Amino acid sequence: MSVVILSALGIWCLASVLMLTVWRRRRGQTSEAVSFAFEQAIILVPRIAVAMLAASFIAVIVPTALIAAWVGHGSGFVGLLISSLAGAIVPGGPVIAIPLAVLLRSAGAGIPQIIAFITAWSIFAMHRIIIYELTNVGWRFTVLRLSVCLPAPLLAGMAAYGLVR
Amino acid sequence: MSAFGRRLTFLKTLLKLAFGPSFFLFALVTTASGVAAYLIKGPVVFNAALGQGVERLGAILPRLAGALLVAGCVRVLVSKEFIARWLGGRSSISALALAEVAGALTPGGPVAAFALIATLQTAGADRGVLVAYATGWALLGFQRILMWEVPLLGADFMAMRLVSSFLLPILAGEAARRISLLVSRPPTAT
Repeated sequence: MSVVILSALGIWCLASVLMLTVWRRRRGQTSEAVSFAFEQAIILVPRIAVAMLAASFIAVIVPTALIAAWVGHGSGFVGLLISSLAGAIVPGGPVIAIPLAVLLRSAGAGIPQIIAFITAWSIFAMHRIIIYELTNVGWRFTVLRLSVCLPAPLLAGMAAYGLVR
Repeated sequence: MSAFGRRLTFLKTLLKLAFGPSFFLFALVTTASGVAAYLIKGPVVFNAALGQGVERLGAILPRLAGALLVAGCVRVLVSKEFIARWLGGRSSISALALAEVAGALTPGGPVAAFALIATLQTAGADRGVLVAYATGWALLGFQRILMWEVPLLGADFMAMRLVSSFLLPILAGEAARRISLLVSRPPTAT
């Protein structure tokens, strides 16, 4: 529980420092920063609430042993490969991907595997590529970006292995 | 319309966004998984899962509130011109690193980021710099980290992911620069 309080405290310290900076440098825009937070809270809280409940329920139904075997900490490089592929095909934004990561963690997935999962989703999120990237910057840039980022989820996962150990 | 009335309509729009189709889809999934957990594992496990979910939410909300304030402040402090200025460099590691940081600091969702890339692309910005920017935004975008990752997965997880990923946009940018050089035709024929 103390970790929860500490990280909340850390965030609030950062928020206070930044609010002070906004107040001193951009006095007129203080309310803009606050109303952004307020608007986003109204939109996000209901979704996060149901998504987290779903993650808790699904965590008790899914076969935990299977997940631990496939993408647990001991699954190594193969586990990184599996979780990268899974992350790449997640259909949708953070409201789906991040609760899925929470679910994976409570079902016994390893931290490096979850990092590979989030990295793959961040880079390859299909809906984003189709809706925003191809229409805005064209297929040439998209193909270049995707091909140079292909190993990124595995690299991030391997780096995380180095950190965990 | 009075100021109060305008605020009320605004709040209504927000609530409509909050309780839109995707919310109900999620609520449906939650209900279905809750029923399944109750039927398969019984009331004891169901209650424990429900309790854990509520406890997690209790841990998330204070973090989320602070994180949203941080996001709001960064949005105000970092202007679009500021970001664009950071993307003027060409083919050096420091230019790529600057582009990565600019990507991480870009406020707004994919609309803002890709619109900026499109503009800079037509202005002839370096390909490697743009790829480093796009990758920095996708991997390390502050808004997603603050609004989703820190509240739901925790600051320690976020820190570990940042350390594991901070070199990747630079590597991607450098690889993209080399590939573009390999396949490049005269710069006029892009």
